[in-house]
Amino acid sequence: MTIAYPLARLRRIGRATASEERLQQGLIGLTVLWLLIGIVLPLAPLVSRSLSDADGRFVGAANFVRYFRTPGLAWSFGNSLVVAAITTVLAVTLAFGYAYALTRTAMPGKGFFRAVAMLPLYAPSLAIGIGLVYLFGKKGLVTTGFLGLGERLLGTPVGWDIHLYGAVGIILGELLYCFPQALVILVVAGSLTDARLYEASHALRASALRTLWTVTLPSLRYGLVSAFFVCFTLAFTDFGVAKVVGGNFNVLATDIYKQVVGQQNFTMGATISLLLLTPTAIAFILDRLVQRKQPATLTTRSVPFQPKPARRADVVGTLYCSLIAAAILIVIGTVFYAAVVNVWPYNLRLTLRHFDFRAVGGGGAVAFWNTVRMSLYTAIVGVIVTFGSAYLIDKTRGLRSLTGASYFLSMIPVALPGLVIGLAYIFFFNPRHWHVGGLAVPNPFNFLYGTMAILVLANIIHFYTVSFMTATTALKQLDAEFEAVAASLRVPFYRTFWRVTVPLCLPAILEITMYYFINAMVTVSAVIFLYPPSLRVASVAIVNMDDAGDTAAAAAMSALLILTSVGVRLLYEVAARQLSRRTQRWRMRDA
Amino acid sequence: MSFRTSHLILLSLIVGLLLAGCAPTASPSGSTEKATAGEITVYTALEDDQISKYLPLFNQKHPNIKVNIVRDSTGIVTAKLLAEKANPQADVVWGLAATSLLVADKQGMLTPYAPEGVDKIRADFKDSQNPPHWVGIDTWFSAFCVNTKELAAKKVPMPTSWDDLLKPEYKGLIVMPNPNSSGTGYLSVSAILQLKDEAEGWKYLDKLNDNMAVYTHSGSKPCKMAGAGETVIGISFDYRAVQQKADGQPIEAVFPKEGSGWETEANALVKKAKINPAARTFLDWAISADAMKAYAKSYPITAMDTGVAIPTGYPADPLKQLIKNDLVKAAAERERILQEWMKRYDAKSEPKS
Amino acid sequence: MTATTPYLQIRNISKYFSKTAALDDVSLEVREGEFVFLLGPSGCGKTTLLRIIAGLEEPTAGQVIQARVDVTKLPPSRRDFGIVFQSYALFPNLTAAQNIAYGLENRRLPRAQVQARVGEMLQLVGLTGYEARYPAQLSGGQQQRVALARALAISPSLLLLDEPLSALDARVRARLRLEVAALQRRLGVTTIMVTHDQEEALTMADRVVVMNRGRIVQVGSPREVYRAPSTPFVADFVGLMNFLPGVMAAGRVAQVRCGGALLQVPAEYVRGHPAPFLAPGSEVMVAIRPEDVRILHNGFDVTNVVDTKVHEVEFLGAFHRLHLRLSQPTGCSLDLTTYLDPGGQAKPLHKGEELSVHLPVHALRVYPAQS
Ligand SMILES: Nc1ncnc2c1ncn2[C@@H]1O[C@H](COP(=O)(O)OP(=O)(O)O)[C@@H](O)[C@H]1O
Ligand SMILES: [Mg+2]
Repeated sequence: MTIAYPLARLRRIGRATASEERLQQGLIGLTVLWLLIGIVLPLAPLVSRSLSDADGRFVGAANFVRYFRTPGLAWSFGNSLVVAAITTVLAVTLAFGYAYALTRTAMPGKGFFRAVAMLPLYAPSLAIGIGLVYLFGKKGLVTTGFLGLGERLLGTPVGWDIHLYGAVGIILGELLYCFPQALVILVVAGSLTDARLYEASHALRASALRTLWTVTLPSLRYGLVSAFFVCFTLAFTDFGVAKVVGGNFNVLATDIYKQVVGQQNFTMGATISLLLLTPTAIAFILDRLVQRKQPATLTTRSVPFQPKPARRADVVGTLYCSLIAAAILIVIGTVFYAAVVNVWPYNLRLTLRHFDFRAVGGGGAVAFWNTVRMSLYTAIVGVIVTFGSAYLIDKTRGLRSLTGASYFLSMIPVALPGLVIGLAYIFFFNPRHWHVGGLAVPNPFNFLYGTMAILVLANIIHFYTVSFMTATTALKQLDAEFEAVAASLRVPFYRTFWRVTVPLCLPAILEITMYYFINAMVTVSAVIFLYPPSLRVASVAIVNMDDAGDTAAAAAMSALLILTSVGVRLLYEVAARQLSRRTQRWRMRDA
Repeated sequence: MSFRTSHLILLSLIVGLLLAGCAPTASPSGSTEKATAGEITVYTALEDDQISKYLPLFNQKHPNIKVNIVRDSTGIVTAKLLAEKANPQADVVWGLAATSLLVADKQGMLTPYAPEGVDKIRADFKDSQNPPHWVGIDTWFSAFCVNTKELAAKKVPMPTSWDDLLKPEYKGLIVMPNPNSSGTGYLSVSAILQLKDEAEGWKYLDKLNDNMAVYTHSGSKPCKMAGAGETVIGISFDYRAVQQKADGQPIEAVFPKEGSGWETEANALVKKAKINPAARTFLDWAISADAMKAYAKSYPITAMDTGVAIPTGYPADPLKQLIKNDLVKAAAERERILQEWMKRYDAKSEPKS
Repeated sequence: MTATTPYLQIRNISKYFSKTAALDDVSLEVREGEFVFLLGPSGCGKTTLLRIIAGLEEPTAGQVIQARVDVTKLPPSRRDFGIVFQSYALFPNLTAAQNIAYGLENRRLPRAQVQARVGEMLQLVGLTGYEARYPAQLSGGQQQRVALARALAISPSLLLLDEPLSALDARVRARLRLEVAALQRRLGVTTIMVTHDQEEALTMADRVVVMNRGRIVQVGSPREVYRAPSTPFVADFVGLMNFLPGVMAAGRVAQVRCGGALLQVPAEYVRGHPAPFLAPGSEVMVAIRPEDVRILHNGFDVTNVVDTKVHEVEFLGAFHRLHLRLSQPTGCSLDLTTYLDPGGQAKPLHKGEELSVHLPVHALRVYPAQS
């Protein structure tokens, strides 16, 4: 046959391709660099601070000794461990039941139950604390028997004082805060079980309990370990709940805050940071070790499990989920109610006056808009950087040491508490000069300090690992040879990235964007040490309001944040549906 | 309104003494450059609702100067200021306890500056050097916020004195600020240690600690907690009590019989490599007649005669309520007293104290 | 390029993954327009070699020379080849036409030319009319052809195919075998195809490269590889082969261990040319293809007759396969497999029946025994 084309032209090697390889290798170099700057380097001054006195002289473990010798402080370590352990067990247990009902029964209203369970993710942990204060505080709805209403109706006092302030309050709050996180993991793990195992178990006439023990639990083992790890880390390091309902019960997270903000004692702050870091790092390593052994639970021949209606299980599941969903709705609902009550508990007329933040601290409406802006930037920059890094790490040929290092670095942030990131960033970015072995080196990143950029960077790092894993999982599902084919066709990698990789991973990309946005909206810990006075943020405003006793305004700001996040999520769902209808046509089997 | 000068003479005496050590090195800066536009960072311990009344006045007058407010409790602003010594972030300190400014000045962190109209400020309200290192604006003092409804519900009598607070029926009903973070907390502790002698004072505080539900981080929070019924008695300060009562909360402002501890709030220019001229503009405004009138609507005692009537709810003669405050002692022993307090009572303290 | 210079030269290529060698000193030459097969069991290094030729993998040692240019260090994007993978790696979000046009789009060709080329390629692989389909809407065979068209669209000088047919069911595979071979001949593009399926290699190849454990064990035409396998491994891997252990005796005779039969072997093994010399007393394997084994019906007086007993008869439709055991078992047993021509066979054979078979001298191959 004759081909009437300029073959030479067809075969011509694109001019761009010569530098293309170098470009990709340069980019992976950049990835390592930004991960180093964002994660590793800032930890160095944190460690060195904890080993030095206030004047920078090396003192070894003296700070740690001092910490454990100060009675008020030493208790906190134990307190944090106990509270985190109890919360973890409770949260994972409750979430297990909930996940079981969602994935293994045919109860009605699963969409509703799923959505409600996720609500706490859209609230700052402080807001959960505030909700608890208005329910169980001295003048809480429950404590006072619905502000005396119960007594008037029933004739006897019906109040119930659970003595919120202290361990009880912290555990309750952290429980709500951790529950959805555990649930997400367990639901995913639960939907990965092979239905054939259940059929076999059924055919063998195994009892329900035996099936639970021999089929359900083993298949969820890795999910359970992950859930334990995530809950423990969250509960151990969270600051918001303890801040609001901790009372005299000190925990490590509030200690750091107390030392750094209250006493400007950065040395002790660094010392406690490392104490905060140790158990989470250990938990992280354990989790990694366990997850490494995970076999593929779903082979291509697995059959997804489709629960069949079973009267009793469905009723029990519905009741159980209703109870938990109600608890979540009540706490969040109370925040909204508290935000519109005139003078709690003396004047219950409804008003919007608490939404006028001018007379309270924290920066008010400006802070709110700063938060929205910060979250937007975090989402946009975050998704680009995260997906880009995951792509480069997964697809770069050669340079194994660089891609391997990047992958490892990307796993670290999940074990870094926000407070630790914030404090480390102060030490790393604030000084005009770093003092390295008696040498003053100009700090090239100092210009970032006190800007929006550093807040965005802190947020991206804080929520990096989960986003990175989402991106990596999506990328690994793509055919590993796309890049090889594109190279053989002499199409530069960035073109294939744009035309193939991004469209194929669009659902994951949108999910990551959303994840960053929501988390940046509600986070306190990573930004509380970092925000400059010109850029106050809403979640910190809530802390300030609560500090000053302006709890109603704090509730109003919380309500505003929750409304915004939930609103954005709903918008996202609608937009994503539209978008996927247009861009995901190729997924459909019929022409 | 006039102010008993004896205390303030004393105060300026201390200042003189304190400054003697470092005065020679402090060369009065000649520059008085100002600006009508720019951006400044202001550290303050004024109440949020006060700032929201005062600051718009400045904004009206200087719409092109953006003011970034860092507001926190006295102890925290002080700590932050001192911690940033090597690389100060603030341009101006506005309404911070004078004792705190003395400490900062002793560390050479303030730039002498004579704001426009400083001659109208009473001598006992400002630094005696010329140009002065700090200039006062008003005085605040301790007061109890008592929730009358809860008091009635608990069927306990209204406390009227510091000694009343030790009564067993108030156990768990009292909240006070932690002196480490709160200026209000410190002036109350300092008042007690001066009213009684030191040994007696600590004994009193031990007993008070037995009755204490929690020590808060901020000086206004005890009053706000009382207003919301979360506590019955909040040891706080005059403005907060008067304000919340006026706001319709079931609060009675109680000024203890033995007298109240007090402190002066003052302004200063922070020493930086490059002084932002807009900072001087701000300091000029901060002691202008307009600003002083606004302060006078909050506090009965101001650094300049304003002609504004004493706000309702205050004692008719506020000066009588003030104890004889040995500020030499208060300032010099601040560190030691706070350490001692921490050792004794910190376990009951809420986060950030 | 002169006829004497091979188009592709692979010189002493080794590839180590950490400590294990995937390729061990591999050398190969491919002429222009040739259709060469890399054949070997799974894991023997075929894909690795193909990827090194493509530049997708870097060799630990050695050189790749393509069109007289050393391309060893060049990235794939700077080489001249088209590739089709076992998975096809079609871009699922692009239509068949967009997939085929993918390599044409960034070389500043006028749109119309791109479209014409795509149309031509679709026609070439017989998929005209399917241009707007997404891969998910095509059958496996159709996807395979789109992948081939995509690789060929840029008119590469070298076509690399990595088990392109193995994901298809047997019927489609058989048809595509012919189609791909015909296409290759028509376009005359130098092609290297990887497979573990000897039938595929034998039917399609100009030349077969048999690999084992990271080494090339034999290179030759399908006929050579089948008829004259150079090692027991090749003999066993390509087609079926019977092996009998034995020892070289004096003269042209090997004594078979089991049963003690004496077999005459071709002279070349004794002469040492062209086959390796086998000294008397050396341990050997005597090999013969099943189809070369002759059943003796009446006691003809010929050499190389062994007595056997029928152990199993397999009915395979067009023919039978007999599993025989040598008689006079002396502790060891081995199978002889032979085809039984159903037409020429009068009486059916049964298990346990005694049978004498003739192993013709020219059909025997002798290999030095390796443990
Ligand atoms: N990326 C790799 N990392 C480590 N080992 C590899 C890699 N690729 C291939 N190998 C090993 O190299 C050997 C040859 O593999 P391969 O070339 O894929 O074999 P084939 O294609 O012949 O089945 C195998 O043992 C395989 O496990
Ligand atoms: Mg292979």
